Amino acid sequence: MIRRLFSLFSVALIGLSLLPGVAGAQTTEVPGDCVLDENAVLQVLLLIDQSGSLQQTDPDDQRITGARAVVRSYAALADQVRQIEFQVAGFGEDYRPGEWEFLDQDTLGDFLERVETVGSEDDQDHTDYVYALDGASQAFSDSPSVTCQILFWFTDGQHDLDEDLLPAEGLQRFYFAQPVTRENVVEAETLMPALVCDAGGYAEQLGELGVSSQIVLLGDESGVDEASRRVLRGMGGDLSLDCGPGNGSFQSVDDVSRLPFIMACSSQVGATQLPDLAPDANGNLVVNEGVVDAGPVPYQLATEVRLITRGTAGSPPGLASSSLPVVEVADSDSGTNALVARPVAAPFSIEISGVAEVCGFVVAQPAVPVVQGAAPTLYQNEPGEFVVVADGPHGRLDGEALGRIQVTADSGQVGSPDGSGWPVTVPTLPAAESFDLTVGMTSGPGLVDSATQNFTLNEPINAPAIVEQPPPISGEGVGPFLIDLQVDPKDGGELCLVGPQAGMTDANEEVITATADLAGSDCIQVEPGGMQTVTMGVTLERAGFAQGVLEFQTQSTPQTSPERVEEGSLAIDLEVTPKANPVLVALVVAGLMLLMLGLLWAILYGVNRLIARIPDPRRNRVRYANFVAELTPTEYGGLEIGIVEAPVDSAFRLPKRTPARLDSGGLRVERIVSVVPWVAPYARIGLGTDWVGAHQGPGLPGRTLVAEKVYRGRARDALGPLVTIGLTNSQMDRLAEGTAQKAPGVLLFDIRTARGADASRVAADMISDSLGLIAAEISTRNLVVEMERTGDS
Amino acid sequence: MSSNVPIPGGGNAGARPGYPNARARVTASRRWFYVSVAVLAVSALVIGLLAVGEPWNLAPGMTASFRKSVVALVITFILVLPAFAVFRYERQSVGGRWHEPAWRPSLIGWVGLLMSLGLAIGWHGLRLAFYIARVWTGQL
Repeated sequence: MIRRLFSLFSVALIGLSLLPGVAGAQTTEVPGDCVLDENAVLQVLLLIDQSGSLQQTDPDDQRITGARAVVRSYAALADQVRQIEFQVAGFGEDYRPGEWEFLDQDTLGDFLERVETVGSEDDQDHTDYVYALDGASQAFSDSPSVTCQILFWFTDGQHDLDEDLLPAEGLQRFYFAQPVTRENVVEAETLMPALVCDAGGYAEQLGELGVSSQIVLLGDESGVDEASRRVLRGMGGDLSLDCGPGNGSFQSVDDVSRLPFIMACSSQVGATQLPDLAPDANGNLVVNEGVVDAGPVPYQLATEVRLITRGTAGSPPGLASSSLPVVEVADSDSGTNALVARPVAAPFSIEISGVAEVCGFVVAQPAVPVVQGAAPTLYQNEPGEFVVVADGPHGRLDGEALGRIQVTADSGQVGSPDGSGWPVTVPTLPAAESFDLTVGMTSGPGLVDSATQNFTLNEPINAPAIVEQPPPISGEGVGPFLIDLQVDPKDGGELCLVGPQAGMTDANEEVITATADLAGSDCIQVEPGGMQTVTMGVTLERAGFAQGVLEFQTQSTPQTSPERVEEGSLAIDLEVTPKANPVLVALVVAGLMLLMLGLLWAILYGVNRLIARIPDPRRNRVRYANFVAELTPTEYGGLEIGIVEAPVDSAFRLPKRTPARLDSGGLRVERIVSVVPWVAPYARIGLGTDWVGAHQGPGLPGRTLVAEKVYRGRARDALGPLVTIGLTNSQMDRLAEGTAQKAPGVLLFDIRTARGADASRVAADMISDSLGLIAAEISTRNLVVEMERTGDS
Repeated sequence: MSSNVPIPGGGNAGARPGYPNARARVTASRRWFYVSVAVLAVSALVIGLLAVGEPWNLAPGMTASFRKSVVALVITFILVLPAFAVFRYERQSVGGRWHEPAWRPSLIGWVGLLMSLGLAIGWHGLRLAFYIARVWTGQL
């Protein structure tokens, strides 16, 4: 049963060690301060106590579980180094060597079986440190190709040649001249510390070979005699004991049930131990990013968190909650729980309950420096600005994590991180074609990386460039507003819009963000050639009244040197309004037009009316005279007309005048201003009779007419000469029947035209001439009326 | 007695010796006529220049564009229309018998008027109409 549990726990730990990421993790703690890299060659000797005392101290073979953890831990490094040579050896009263064989994931199973085979042996009667260390020192070689040599030494007690188990003939020891018997066993045992610790002893030999000793003692350290303690402690790193170079470590465990826990903890290579990790008073353990960050490396660099916890025998700790997927394996017998989680740089929390003690480790990868030029082009003999950014296993590092990383540069001065990277200023770049900048980055203990970047000096970028800023644009709604950009491809490459969205403030002081694209996407490929037109679309998140400049960041990457990126900005002067209601716009425009036209009409009409209020002084010369005419129908259908009462000189009178009217006896001339502005003012002339006959003239152009009641004349008719007669309807009818009629008439004329002659004679001539024409007009009108009545044509 | 009021631009033909008031009227009328024609022409030019390069729609606030449109309309109302009234009056008041319009060549005045009104309504007015429409519909 115990074996089955061991097997289960072992398989689980094998699984943990096989998880991806472990192999690729940067080793931060390897015994002997070895540097693990792809050229490293490790030799690890696992030396397991096989003395018979283990039957009492470790009856359940807990040491095998622990030894397996040691093997797996080193096997996990196989992918990081060039080679791992591993040997499992046993010791008791003598040294039982194994063989150096390559350890990797393929041979791991063989080694685990070998560990079980060697570890399960407990048949040796004595515990002889001299034989153990003699065999170990012979096993390690002085090969220059081996960079790390580690002795992992497990023992359950002190150096002891058990006198009760000494054979009768004595026990042969190479370091003691006689066989060791009960009589001289004390003397033989006394030689051990000197053989190990004195000058030229095994501790020194191992130290000269560069072997680091990792020692685990099962049992109470206080129960070990002083000589053995000196060896174990001294080789385990305590320089005060003057035994060995002090490059090892020592741990003792008095409770055998803790042995797998202790060995599992002490065998965690390639990981950094988390400090101050302890459960609370209730046995609950919480591990989150803060706990990891309290370690020597930022948690953003962590790729794996290993938590080895121990509860009580038969009751291992259990996972209470976790925000990360975990692999958890518990060994009920020893009460040990091994858990592996892989953080992803985001906050996380793992809670384990029932924890009595814990050791935690974090596997981290060093941040990789990336050196960039702050300016796209660097020039000889001028200051050079560079930026160093750090790439972690989960992406680029920023924020406070940068403050925990040390950056050095072989040239110039490294500034404080600004949240995204470290500025590096080189005061003067050399007068050379190129400049190499080497940057070192230390992310934590053993997490060191460096990078060298070559920068060409005085090199034009020749990336696609927008040759001129576009003109201001205006539009309605949210767009897209299309803008034609003139792009000079130069050597060709990629032109991108990058950075945050641009914004502009609207009339309510609220920001309207805008997104932009180049021909429908963020980036366009520009082929070398002539100037090209690229359509840029700007889309607003919402409509509004806004006017401002939208700043878009651009990045141009030349085809010939894609690592050099030219950054720029594109300013779009945009004036935007919401979409207007076209009906309302039309109504407003129509209203405005009506208003304008109305004002125009008011001006035209008003001016005409205003003019009509101005008296015409020439009307002062106008006189009128009344006369009576007789119209006699002839037998041929015509009319004879004559003056019955001609005006005499004394009858000429001045008409009554107002600015808009002229009353000359029965004749009224009114100045009419039409409401239609383009119609000129005219005169409305009438005698107050049903019919009026008039002759305007003489003079050019003269006009004769017959009209009902009034007729529309020219305004200047008010100045004469004008001859009018009036007829009633009945008179007209009687004229048509052939009965002579007398009609009143008015003559209007400019008295100046009669200067030098009798006005009455001049008037009579005018009336006579005009009446003939009027009579002819009346005859014509009567003939037409008659024909209409009779139907003749 | 005043008589035979002359026509602006018609020389001094209408002025009669011995009638100083009539001559003064002629001079004053001619001056006002020319002033009105000049105002119409210059206003048309200014209104046209105010329209050059301006967008057809307006943003809120007294932006330069908005002010130009307002200035154009103000010029129309304050200068163009009164100038046309004077133009019209002076042309008619010195006309023929009983103030018949004397249709003298005054192309500049009419072109100035029509150009001013056309631009003021068709361009500046349209832009302001869009502005008013948007404000009216509460999209501010």
